[in-house]
Amino acid sequence: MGNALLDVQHISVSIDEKQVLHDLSLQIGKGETHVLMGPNGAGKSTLGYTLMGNPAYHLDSGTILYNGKEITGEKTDQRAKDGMFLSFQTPLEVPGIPLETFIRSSLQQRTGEHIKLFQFQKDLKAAMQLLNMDPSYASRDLNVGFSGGERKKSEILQLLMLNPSFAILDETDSGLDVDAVRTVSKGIEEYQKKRDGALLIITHSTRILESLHVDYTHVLVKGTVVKTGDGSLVQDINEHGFEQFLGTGGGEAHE
Amino acid sequence: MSIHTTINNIPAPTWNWLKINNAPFSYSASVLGADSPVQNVLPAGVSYKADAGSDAGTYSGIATGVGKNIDSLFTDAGVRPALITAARNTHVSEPVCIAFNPADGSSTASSQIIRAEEGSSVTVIISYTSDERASGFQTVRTLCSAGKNAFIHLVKVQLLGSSFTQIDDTGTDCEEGGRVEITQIILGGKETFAGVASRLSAYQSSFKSDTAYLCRGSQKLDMNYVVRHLGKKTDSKMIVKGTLLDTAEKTYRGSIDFKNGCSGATGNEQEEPLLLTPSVVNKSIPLILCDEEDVAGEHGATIGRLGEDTLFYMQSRGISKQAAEEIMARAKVSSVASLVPDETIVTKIHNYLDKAFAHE
Amino acid sequence: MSDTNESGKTQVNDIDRSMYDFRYDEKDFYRNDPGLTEEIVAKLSDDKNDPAWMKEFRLKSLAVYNELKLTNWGPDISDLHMEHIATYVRPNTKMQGDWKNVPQDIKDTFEKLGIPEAERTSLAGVGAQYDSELVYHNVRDEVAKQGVVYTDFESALRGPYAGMIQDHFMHLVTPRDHKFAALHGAVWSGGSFVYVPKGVHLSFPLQSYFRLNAKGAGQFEHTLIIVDEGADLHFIEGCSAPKYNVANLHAGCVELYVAKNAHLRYSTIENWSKNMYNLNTKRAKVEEGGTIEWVSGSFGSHISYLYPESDLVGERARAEFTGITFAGNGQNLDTGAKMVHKAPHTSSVITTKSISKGGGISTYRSAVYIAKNAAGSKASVSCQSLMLDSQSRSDTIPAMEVLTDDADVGHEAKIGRISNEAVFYLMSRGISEEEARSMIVSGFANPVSKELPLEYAVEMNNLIRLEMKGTL
Repeated sequence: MGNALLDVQHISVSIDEKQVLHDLSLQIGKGETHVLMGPNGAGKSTLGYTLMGNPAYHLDSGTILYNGKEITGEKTDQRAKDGMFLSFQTPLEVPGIPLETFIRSSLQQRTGEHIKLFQFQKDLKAAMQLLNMDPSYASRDLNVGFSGGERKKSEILQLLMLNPSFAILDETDSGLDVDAVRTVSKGIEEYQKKRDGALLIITHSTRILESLHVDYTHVLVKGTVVKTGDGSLVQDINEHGFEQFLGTGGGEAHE
Repeated sequence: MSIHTTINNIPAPTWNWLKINNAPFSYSASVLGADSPVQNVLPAGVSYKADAGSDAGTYSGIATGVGKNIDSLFTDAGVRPALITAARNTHVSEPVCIAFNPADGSSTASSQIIRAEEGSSVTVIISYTSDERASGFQTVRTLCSAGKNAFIHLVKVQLLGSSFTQIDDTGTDCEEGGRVEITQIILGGKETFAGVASRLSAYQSSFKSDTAYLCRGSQKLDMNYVVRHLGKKTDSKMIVKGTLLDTAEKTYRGSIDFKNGCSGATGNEQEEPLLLTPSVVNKSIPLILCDEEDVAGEHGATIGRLGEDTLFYMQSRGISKQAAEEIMARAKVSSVASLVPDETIVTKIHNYLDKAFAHE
Repeated sequence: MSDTNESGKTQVNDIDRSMYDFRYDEKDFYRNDPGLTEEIVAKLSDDKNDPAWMKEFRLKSLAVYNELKLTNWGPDISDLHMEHIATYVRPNTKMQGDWKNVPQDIKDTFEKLGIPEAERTSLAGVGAQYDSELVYHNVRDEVAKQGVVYTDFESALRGPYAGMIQDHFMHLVTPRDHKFAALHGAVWSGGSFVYVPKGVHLSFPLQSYFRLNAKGAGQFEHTLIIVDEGADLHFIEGCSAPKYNVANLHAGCVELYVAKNAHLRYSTIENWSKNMYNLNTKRAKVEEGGTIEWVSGSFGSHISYLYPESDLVGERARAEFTGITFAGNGQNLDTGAKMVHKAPHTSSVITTKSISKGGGISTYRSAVYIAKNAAGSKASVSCQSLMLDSQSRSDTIPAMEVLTDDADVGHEAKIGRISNEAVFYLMSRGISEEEARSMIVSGFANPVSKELPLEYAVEMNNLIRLEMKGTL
C-alpha cells in the first residue's frame, strides 16, 4: 500500500469497560478509498470514533499513526487540524450556531488564517448547489430541525468545505431515500476528485458505493477484521451477505 | 387525639400566595390501629408477619411522601406494621393481595413493610374499597425495601366511598441494582392525600411510578411525589395522569432531586391533567433540584382540555364531544390499570368508572 | 472594544471585566446616615423636596417595612444588614441635559460604559443615574415633539404630569407586596417617568443606565412607564457597579402600564458586581390587545430575587419573557417570571436559560396563574438549565395554577450538562475543547441574545466567553 497515510497497529478498544475491537490493524494510503463493512454490532462506528479520538472510547493497547506521526494520545481537535474528518452517523443538533458560522469557524481553526469572506461564501454556495441543499440552510442553526437526509448532506457539505486529507464516513447513506443517496454520492465523488484525499467509508449497505471507485474492502465482525479484499468484495457481499463471515469474529457484538 | 399540621411538604418552598407548599391537615377524632388483611393464599416464596415486631426498626428510616408530621397518627393508634418478605432469589409469580374494606364511620391506621431480599421479585396489591355512601378516615403507610437486584411492584387502588378521607403514604429505598415500581389508581374518596418518596442511594437503583386519577363532584386530591437520587447511574420516571370534573381540586407536587455525587443519573416526570369543566382547580408544581453536573433531568406538563385535533378526529368518526371526553378520561385510568396484574381488581376499576360516567 | 470585518458584523475581542470595576471618590457628595428610621426617611423626603403626599407615602411604607417579615423561601439574605446601608447618596451635581455639564469623573464613568456614544448613534433618549440621583437626562428633539415624555422622576412629581404620577405610583407594585417593595416605597430616589402618547411609535429605544458607585449604599430607583393606546416603545435598562467588600443593595421598582393595543419591550442587562443584593420588583399591567415583551440577562449580583410579573387584564393581552441567568462563584441568583391571566384569550410565553458554574447557585422560579375568567388562554413555559460542574446548583421551581378548563398550559424543563457528544462533534472540526464549550454555551444562550440590540448581544456573549475561560 505504499506510504501509509493512516497506520493502525494492533488496537484493542473498549467502551464502558467492555472490549469492542480486538487487535485490529489497518493501513490506508494517500488517495485510497477503503470500505469497511460488517453486520450490526461489529464495531464499525467504534473504529471511526476511536480514530477521531472520542474520549468515551478507551484504547486498551496498540498505536495509531497519521502521516508518520503518532497520534494515539492526541485530542480530537488536534487530529482534525492534522487533516482528519469524521462524518457522523447521527449528526447532532447544536442550537444557536448557524451552519455557515460553524463551517467558517472550523475552517479558521484548520488553516489558522483569517477567512476571506467573499470567496468562502462563493465556495459555500457552489457546494450547497452540488448537494441540492436549499441556500436557506446556511443561516439555520446547525442541524436543528433538519431531517435525517439534510443532516447527512450537512456533513458532506462540511466535508467539501473543510477539505481534509482523510475522511471517515460513518453510515452516510443510512436513512436516506434514493435521490438523497445519489446526491450524497455525488458529493463524495467530488471530494474524491478534488483532493488526493483518502476515504474510509463505513457502511452495511452498498447503495452509496455504486458510483464510487473502491480500492480495498474490509469486513469487520465482532470487533475483528475477518477479510480484506479489493472492490469486488463489495459485490460479493451484495450477493451473498455476511453469513459467510459470521462465526469468525472475536468478541461480543457492539456498535 | 388531635393533630393539626401540614403534610405533603414540598422539598423547596415557593411563593406562599400560591398555597402550594404543603397541605394543611387537621384531625381530632380517635384513630384505631388496624391490621393489613391478606386476601389470598400467600404465594410461594413470600412470608407474612401481621406484626413486624422488632424488624420494623430496620426500615423506620425510610422517608415517605406524606411525611413525618403524621407519625403521631400511627403511634397514637398503636399501629403494628405488617411485614411481607420475599425470599432471596425468588421470583414470586402470584401477587400478594391486601384488601381494606373500612366500615362506615371507621377511623383507622395501618402500615405495611414490604421487603424483597436480594435477587427476588414480588408484587403486592393493596386495594381500598368501601360502601359508596360510607364516610370515615383511613391512613395507610407502606414502606418498600428492595434488596440488591431485587424488584418490588407495589399497586395501590383506591375505590373508597365519596365521604371518605384518606392519607396514603409510601416510602421506598433500594440497594444496588434494586428497583421499585408503584402503580397507583385513585378514584374515590372525598379528600385524598397521596405521598410517595423514593430514595435511590445505591448504584443503578431505579424507580418508576404511574398514577392515574379521576376527580369529580367536590373531590379533592393532594399529591406529593419525591425522588432523591444519591447513587450513581440511578434512574427515575414518574407519570401522573388524570381528569378533573365538576368542582374537583387537585394539587400535584413532583420533585426530582439530584444530590451531589449521583453522576450518570437520569430523571423524568410527566404530568397530564385533563380539565373538563369550568370550575375545577388544578395546581401543578414539577420541581427539579440539581446539585450534580453529570445528570439528565426532564419534566413536562400538559394541562388543559381535550386537544382540538384529537377532538376533531374523534368527531369525524361520529363521536360526540362528551363521549370523546369520557373516552379520554377512561383511557387515562385504563392505561395505568393495565399495569395491575389482577383481573378482579381491574374489573372493579372498570365497574367503578362505568358507574361514575353513568351519572354524567 | 470591537471592530468590524467585511460583512459588517462585529468581531468580538476579549473584554476585561475590570472595565466595570472602577470607582470614584465621593467628593462633596451628600450621604445620609445608614440605617432606617423615621427621621432618616423624613429628612430624605425633605431633602428631595417631595410633595406632601409623597412624604406621607414614604412614612407609611416604612411602617409596612417594619411590619413585614422576610420570605421563608429563596436565598438567604441574613448577611444584608440594613443598618449599614446608606439609603441615599447624592452626587454633587444637578441633573444636566448636556454631557458637557456633567462633572468630569461622573461623565468619565458613563463614557467608559459607552453610554454617550450609544446615545449619539442609536438611542432616542438617555437617563443616567449615578448613585441616588439622575445626573443626565436627555430626549431627542423629534421624539419630544411627538409628545413623548421622558423625564427624571423628581421633576415629574412637580410638573404637568404630577397627577398622572400620583394616580399610578406604586399602585401596581404596592408596599404591601413584600418587605423590599415597602423599603422601596420609603427610600426610593431617582429613576424615570416615561409617557408615550396614543399611536406614537418610537423608532429608537429609550435607555436608562444605573450606576451605583457609592460603597455600602443602596440604589432605589423607580421607573414608571405608561404606553398609551396603540403606541410602541422599546426601553432598555442597564446597570452596573464596581466591586466592594461590603454589601450594596439594589431595591428598585419598575411599573409598566401597557394600554389597549400598545406594545412595550423592556430589555435589561443586569451586571451588578458580586457584592450586590439585587432585590428588584418589576410588574407590567397589560390591557386589551396589548403586548409586553421582557428580555432579561442576569449576570451579576451576589444575591438576586427577580421575577418580572405580567398582569394580563384585558382580552387578548399578551406577555413574553425571555431570560438568561448565569450564576458563577459566590452568586445565588433566584430569578424567573410570573404570568397572571385575568382575562379571556390572553397568552404568555416564558423561555429561560440558566447556567451555573464554579459553585454558583441558579434557581428558576415561576408562577403561571390562570384565573377562572381567563377562558381561551394559553401559557407555555420552557426552561433549560446547564450545569457546568458539580460544585454548582441549579433548581427549577415552576408552579402553575389553573382555575378553568378552557385553557392550554404547557410546560417543559430540562437540566443537564454540556453534551460530550456535542463537544466531540465540534472538536472533530478542529475547534479546541475550551472554544467548543464556549460556543455551546453561547449557542445555548442564543434565544436570549438574539432578542437584544446588537451591542448588548455582543456584550452578553463577551460575558459568557469571559465566564467560560478557565473552566477546564
